[in-house]
Amino acid sequence: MDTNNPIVKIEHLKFNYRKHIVFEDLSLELEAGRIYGLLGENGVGKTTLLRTICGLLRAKSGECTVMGMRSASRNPEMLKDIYFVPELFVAPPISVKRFAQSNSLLYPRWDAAQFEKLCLTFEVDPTYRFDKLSHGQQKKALIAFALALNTRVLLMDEPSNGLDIPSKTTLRRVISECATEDRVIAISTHQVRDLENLIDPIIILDRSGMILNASIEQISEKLLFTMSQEPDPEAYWSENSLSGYYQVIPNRDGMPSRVNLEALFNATLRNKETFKKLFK
Amino acid sequence: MTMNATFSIHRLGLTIYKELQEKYMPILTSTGIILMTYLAIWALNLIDGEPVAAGARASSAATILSIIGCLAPFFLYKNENRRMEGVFYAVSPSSTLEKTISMLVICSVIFPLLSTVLLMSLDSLLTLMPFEARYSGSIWGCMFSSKEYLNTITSFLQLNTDPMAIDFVNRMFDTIIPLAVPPIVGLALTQSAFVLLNMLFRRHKIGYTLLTLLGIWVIAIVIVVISAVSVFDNLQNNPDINPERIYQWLITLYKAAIVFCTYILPIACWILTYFRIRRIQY
Repeated sequence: MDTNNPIVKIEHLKFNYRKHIVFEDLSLELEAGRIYGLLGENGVGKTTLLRTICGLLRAKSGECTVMGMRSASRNPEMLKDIYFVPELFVAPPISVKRFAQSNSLLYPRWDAAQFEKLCLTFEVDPTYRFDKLSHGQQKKALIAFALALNTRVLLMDEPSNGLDIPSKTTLRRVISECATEDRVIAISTHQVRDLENLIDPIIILDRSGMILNASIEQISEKLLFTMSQEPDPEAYWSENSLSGYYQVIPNRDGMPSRVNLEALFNATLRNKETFKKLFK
Repeated sequence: MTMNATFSIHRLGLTIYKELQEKYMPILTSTGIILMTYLAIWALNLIDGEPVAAGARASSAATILSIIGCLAPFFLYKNENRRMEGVFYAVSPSSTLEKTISMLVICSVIFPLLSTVLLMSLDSLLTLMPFEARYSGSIWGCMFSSKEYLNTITSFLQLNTDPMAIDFVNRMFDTIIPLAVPPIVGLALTQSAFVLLNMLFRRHKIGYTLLTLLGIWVIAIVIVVISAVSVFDNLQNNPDINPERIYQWLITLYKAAIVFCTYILPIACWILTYFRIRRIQY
């Protein structure tokens, strides 16, 4: 299987909610074998983008295709290979097990044993009624179900919201375990620390569209995340602390550094046009 | 788009099975409500102490089945068009056609058939009860045959004894019978409008549906009144018009109304439901 072919292709997407323009001309490709992190402030269209990819929303113009099929047409051949975990959802009044049994019927790569195992990992009892579980438990049950479907495209909207700290660690682990070469996972979040070391490449959206779409490797080639005693006059972003200045500066000497997603996000928002050119 | 993307019998079967797994509780609850209401009527008849004929029972059974049957889509598919609750339905990998057919099978075939058969069985059971307010005769035939239902209802209603009125009603019934469908089919057909309105409105579904139907009813009444006034005006201005011509005109209008309500409207409602499911955004 050629994993370099984009599974999701978005071309010149325009989307608006009545007078509120969300995307004016968004183009984007998601390739297999990667876990994309979709970052952005509230209201920039992260959820709208995910909903458009899986066909829940229809763009005003432009094209969004998944495995060559228009997502807006909700073709069952496409839908059987894509799943969307919404940030907020209403759990049905049936047990988690029955929900999984009935909803998995139309997915060809559903793995019931994997679902049982994931429920065990997340400490969710699948015999409980879905709607009677706590918000965090419901979310974990749905994530376990989504991962066990083994669809080629998995879209998750703020999956770490509502999870306790140990569950966030488990979430990172299970997602990285379930990521395969033929699968693309896109995770939208504004809690970047929750998914650090998991997401790569990073996509940062703002109201004007996409500012950055780059792999961690490309980011660390161009930016240096460093701590120093003196502020760098060319720093894209810096934060003063007791131990000095934590800064994002141009990587002039090709020094390796660990990408800090929160710092990257803040630096991107402050230098939108510069970063657009830098990562073009 | 290939045929497989539009329709696959295997996928349709799985879709129906999936929806039945999720909806068996509301189906059983609605059927339970129908049976309990019928039992309540039976209890009232017991207090009354008078024997109840099959015609009266057929009429009340059809009424209960119609009311609950029309409300059923609101219980069974209340969340499917909602932005938050309907996501699982929308991303489910079956085509719009399969989703529409599945809705039709569950709402208009499985539910009416199940509730009617159980209600008829309950009635049969009650006829065996040795109480004073005996339930005699069977109403099974009434629910599955339009002719039998109409005959039973007519005899039960004890129509006006005016020979002209009787003749008029008889001729009207002769016109209806070839076009009429059995009550159980009628129930399934009536549901189509409620299924459409249930998918059309996202919130306060029953309230908006009643308001819409009230609006349509008011418009229909206005049209009928205007038509009647113009007919009477015509009659007054042309007293030599043959009454038979007026009668034939009324019969034709009546036939057209029956064909429209029984065949055209349900088909149109289901087609519109299909497009609603296809176009809906979440």
